[in-house]
Amino acid sequence: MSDIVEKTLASLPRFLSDGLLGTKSQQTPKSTSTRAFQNFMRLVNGVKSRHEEEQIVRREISVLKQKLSQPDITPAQMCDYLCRVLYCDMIGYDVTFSFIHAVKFAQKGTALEKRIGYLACSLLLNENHELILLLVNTIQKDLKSSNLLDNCMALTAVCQLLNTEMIPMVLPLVEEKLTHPRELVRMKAVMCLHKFLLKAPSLMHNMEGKLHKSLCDKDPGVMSVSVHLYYQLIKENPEQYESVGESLIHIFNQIINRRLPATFEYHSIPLPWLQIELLQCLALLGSKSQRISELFYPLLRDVLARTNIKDNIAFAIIYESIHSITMIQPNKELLEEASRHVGRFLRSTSRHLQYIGIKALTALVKRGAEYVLDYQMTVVECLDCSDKSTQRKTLELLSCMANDANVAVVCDKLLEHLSKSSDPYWKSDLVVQVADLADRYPLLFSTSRREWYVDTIFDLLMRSRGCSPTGVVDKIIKVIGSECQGEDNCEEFCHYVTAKCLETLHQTDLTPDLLHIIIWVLGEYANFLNHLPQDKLLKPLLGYFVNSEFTEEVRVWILSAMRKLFCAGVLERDELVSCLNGIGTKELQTYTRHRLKELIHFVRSGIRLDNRTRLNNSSLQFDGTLSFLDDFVSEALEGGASPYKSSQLRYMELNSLHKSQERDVLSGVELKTYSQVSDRSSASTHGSAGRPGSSEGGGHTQNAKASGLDMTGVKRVWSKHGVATKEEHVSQHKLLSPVSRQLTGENDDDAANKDGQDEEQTRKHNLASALFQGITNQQNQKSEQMENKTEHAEHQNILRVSGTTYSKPIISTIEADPLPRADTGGWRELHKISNQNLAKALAANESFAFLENTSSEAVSTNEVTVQQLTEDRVLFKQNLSTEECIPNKNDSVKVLPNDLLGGQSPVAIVKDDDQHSDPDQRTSSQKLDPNERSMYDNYMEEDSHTSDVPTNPDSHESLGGTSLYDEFYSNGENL
Amino acid sequence: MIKFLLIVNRQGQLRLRKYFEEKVVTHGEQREIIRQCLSAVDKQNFLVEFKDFTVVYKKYGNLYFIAGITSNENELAVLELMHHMVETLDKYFDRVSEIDILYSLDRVHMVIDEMVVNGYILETSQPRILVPLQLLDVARK
Repeated sequence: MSDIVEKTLASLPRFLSDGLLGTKSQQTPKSTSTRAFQNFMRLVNGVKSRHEEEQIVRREISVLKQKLSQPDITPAQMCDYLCRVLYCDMIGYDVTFSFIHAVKFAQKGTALEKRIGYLACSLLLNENHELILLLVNTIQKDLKSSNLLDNCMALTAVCQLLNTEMIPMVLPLVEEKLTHPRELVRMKAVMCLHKFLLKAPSLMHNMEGKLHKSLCDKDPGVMSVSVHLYYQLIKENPEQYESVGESLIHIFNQIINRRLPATFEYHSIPLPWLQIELLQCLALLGSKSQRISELFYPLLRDVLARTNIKDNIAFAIIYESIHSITMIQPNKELLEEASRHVGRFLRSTSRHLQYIGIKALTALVKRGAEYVLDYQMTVVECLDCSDKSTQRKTLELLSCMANDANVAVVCDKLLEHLSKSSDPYWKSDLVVQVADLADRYPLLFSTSRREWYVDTIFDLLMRSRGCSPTGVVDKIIKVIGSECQGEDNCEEFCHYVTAKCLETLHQTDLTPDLLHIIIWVLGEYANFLNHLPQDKLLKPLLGYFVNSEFTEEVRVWILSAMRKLFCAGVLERDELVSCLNGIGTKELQTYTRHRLKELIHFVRSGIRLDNRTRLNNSSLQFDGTLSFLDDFVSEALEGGASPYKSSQLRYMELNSLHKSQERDVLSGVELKTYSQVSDRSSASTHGSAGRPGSSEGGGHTQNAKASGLDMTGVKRVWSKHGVATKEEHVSQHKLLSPVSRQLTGENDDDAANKDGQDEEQTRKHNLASALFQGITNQQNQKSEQMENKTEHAEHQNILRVSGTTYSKPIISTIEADPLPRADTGGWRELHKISNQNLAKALAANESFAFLENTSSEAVSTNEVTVQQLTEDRVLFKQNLSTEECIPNKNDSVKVLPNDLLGGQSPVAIVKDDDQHSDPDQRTSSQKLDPNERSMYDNYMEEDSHTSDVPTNPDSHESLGGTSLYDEFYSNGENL
Repeated sequence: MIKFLLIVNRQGQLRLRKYFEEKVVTHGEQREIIRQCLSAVDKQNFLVEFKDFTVVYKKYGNLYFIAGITSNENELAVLELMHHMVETLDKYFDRVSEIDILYSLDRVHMVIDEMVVNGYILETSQPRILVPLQLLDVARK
C-alpha cells in the first residue's frame, strides 16, 4: 500500500523538475535508484535553509527506521533503503539504527546485494565498532568461496573494516589468496597485506618470500600493489631492503621501455603512478647506498629525457625524478639536468608547474644553495604570488636556503607573513621555522647577533599570538640562559636582554609565551635591575598577576620571579608584603594561593638568598680549592695538625690502621693511635664541609655569602690533592670589544628606505639581492671574489665620500668583523648611495686627484662597483621586459674606468643598459631553446577533460559475461 | 597517502564523501575545506593547505573533486588520479553527470573502491577497474 502511494508521489515532482534538471532526466541504463530515492534527493537538494533540510531528513529517517524493521523486505528494497541511509549519513545525520541492517544484508545477500551490504558497513561503521565482529564470520566464508566476486568483496572488506585484533582470524585465508589464479584476487590480497603491514607489522615477519613472489608477479597490477608494500618496508629500514633495489630497477626499466600492455597506459604514459612510487622507493634506497644510486642514474636520465609529453602526469613524474635526484648520492650531471627542468617549471605560466617548480627548487637547494641563483627574481615574484600555497612553499624555500648572511632577511620575510596569516596551523609552523632559523645561525659570540636573536624572538612571539607550539618557549629560555653565561660580552648582553624585557613588559598586549620569557629573564637577571624604581617593576607584575586573561601557570611564574627579585634586593620588603596582601585570593586556585602565602611568609622573614655573586661576574667561578680557608689551615698546621690527605689516601690508611689496630688489640691498648685517628677525622670533616661547594655551585656561594666570606681575591693554595701548585688566578674580566650596533641601526635604515621607495620592482630587486647574498656558485668563484672586492671598494668609497681619512687599520677591522658582511639589505643601500655619490663626484671632476693617487687596485675595484650597479639595472630592465629573468654575472656590462674618467654621468650608463636589456643580446648560453619554451608555455589547463574523453562505443557490447574478464586475464598471461 | 575524497557541487552540497582514514576531519573542518575550495577566485588555483595536510581540488563542470593528501604525496599525481576517476566514471556511466553521481551513489563508491583502497592506489588500468562492476551488473540480470 505504502509503496503505491510513494510511487504516485514520486512521479509528481519528476514531471515538475524535468525542465529544471535538463534533458538528462531519462535515466542512464545502470542507475539503480528508485523513484522514492530520487524524490528524497530532490527534496533535500531543493531546500532553502538548513532548518528545512533537517526537517525533511528527520522525516525520511523515521520512515526508513520503520521500513527497515519490517519483516519481509525484498533485496531490491533493502538496497534502496541502504542507499538513502548512506546519503543521510553523508550529509551528517545520525543513522545508528541502520547499522545492524547493513551487517545483516552483507551476511545474507548475494552478489550485488552483498556488495552493497559490505559497502554500507564500510561507510557506516568505524573499525572498532562491535558489530564488525558479526561480519568476520561472513568475511571468512566469502574468502573460502569459490566465487571470484565473493572473494573480491571479502578482500575489499578486509582492507576497509578489520581492526588489528581481527587480522589473525583472516590472515591465513588472505595468504592463500596470494596464489589465486585470478590476478584481480591476488591484487586485492596484496592490498590486504599492505593494510596488515600498516596496522600490525609484527604479524608480517616471515612473509618475505611471499612478498617477493608477488613483486615478481607476471601481472603488472599485482606487481604495482606490492610496490606499496615495499615502499613501506623500505621507509622503515632502507638498509635491510637494499637487495630489492635491483628488482625495482628492473621493473622500472620494463615500464619505461613499454613492455606492458596498452591498457595500463594513462594518457599514453605507462603506469604513471607506479613510476612515481618506484621513484620514491629508489630515492630512499639510493640515499643510503652508492651502488643503488649508480644503477639508478641511467634510469633518471632516461626519464628526464622523455619530456615530449605535455601532461600534468608527465610533469608529476619529472618532479618526482628531480626529487629523487636530490635524495640519492649526488651526481653532478643529473643535478645540472634537474636544475634545467626546475627552470622550465618556474618559467611556466601555469600555476601548477610554478608550484612544483618551487617545491623542486627547495629540494635542490638542500643539495647546493647555488642552484637558486639562477631563479632569484622568480622566487621573489612567487613570494608576492596571489596563490597562498605557492607563497608558503616559497617561504619554505627561503628557510632552506638561509645562511649566515641572509638569515636576518629571511626571518624578516617569515615574520612578515606570520603577522599576515590567519591560519593557526601554518602560524605555528612558521614559529617553529623562525625559532629554528634564529637558533641555527644566531650567536657566534657576537653581541649584535645575540641582540638580533632576542629582537627576532620577541617580535616572533608578539606576532604569533599564542600559536607557538609547546617546547619553543623552553628552547628559547635555554638559549638565552646559555648565552647569558657565555664567555665574552655576556654582561652587556644581559643588560640588553633585561632592558628589552622591561621595555616589553610595559606594552599592553603581551602573549603568555612572551610574558613567560620576560618574567624568567627579569627574575634570573634581577641584579641588573638594581637601580630601578620600585613601582616600575612591581606594578606591571601585579597587573599581570591579577589579569584574568592569563592562566594560573603564568601567576606561578610571576610569584617565583617576585621571589627572585626580592632576593636580589630589587623589591623592598614592606612594599612587596603590602602589595601581596592586597591581592584577592578568592579567584586563585589552591596551588597558586599556596604559593602566594609561601612567598608572603618568605618575604616577611626577610631571608635574602642572594644570587648576585653568581651572576654579577661574567666569569662564573667556584672556589673549589677553598682558598678562603688558607689562613685557618696554615694556622692549624703551625699548631701541629697533620696535613690534609685525599679521601683515597685516607681510606688506604684507615684500612692499614684497622689492621694495625687488630694487631694492637692483640698486643695491648695504645692511646696514641686513637688520638691520631681523631685528628684525622676532624681534618676530614673540614674537607667534607667545604666540598659541596665544588659540586653545587649555587648552594655553596649562598653559604659562603651567608657566612660572610668573600672569596674574591683570595689566593688558591689548596686543591683536591693537597697543596696546589701556584696557579695564576686568571682574571676573566675581559675587555668588552667595541659593540657594533651597526646591524640594528641599518635595519631601521632599511625599513625607512623601504617605506620611501615607490617602485615595486626596485623593492623586489633589493629583496632579491638581500635574500640571495651569501649563496655562491662554485663556478662563479671569480665573481664572488669580485663582489668581495666590491665590498672593499664600498668601504673605501664610504670613507672617502664622507671625508674621513683613509687608514688601513680601520679597513682591516671591518674585514675582520665577525658580523655578516652583508646584512638585511642595508649594505646594498649603502652601496647604492655610495655609488651615486661616487658618480656625482666623478661628474664634478672632483676626484681626479684621488683616483690618480690610489693604486691600480682601487681603480679596478671601482670598475667592479660600477659594474655591479649597472648589472642591477640590467636585471631591472630585463625584468620589466620579460617574465623570466635569469641574472647572470657573466653578461653584465663592463664600464671601463676610462669611461668614468671621461666624465660620463650615470645617465649614460643607463642608456647603455637599454641595449643590453634586449633579449637578443644575451649570451647564447642563456638563451632558451624556443622549442623547449613553447612546449611549456603552450601547456594549457584543460578544464573540460570530461567532455574530451572519447567514450568507448564497445563498452556495452563487452558486457557479454565473464568472457570479458577472461580477455584481461589472457592479456595478463601474455606478459 | 590520500586521506579523504569529497565530491561537491558548486553550491557546496556534498555528493560523495570517502574517508580513507578514520575521523580524519570533523564535520566543521570539512565544511571549511569545501568553503575554501569553492571560494577560490583564481581559476588556476588547485590546492589549499589545511591543518597538516594538503587539499588538492579540481573542477569538472558543476562538480568539484577534492582530495586531502599527506604532505609527502605528489600533488600533481593526485590531481591526475582524480582526473582518471572522472574518466573512469565517464566510461562506466557513459557520459557521467552530477545526477549519475547523485542517484548512483553506491556505484560511484564501488568504482572508487576499485581504484583506491585505504588511501593507496589499487588499480589504474581503466578496463580492469570496471571489470568487477560489470560482472556484478551482469550477475543481476
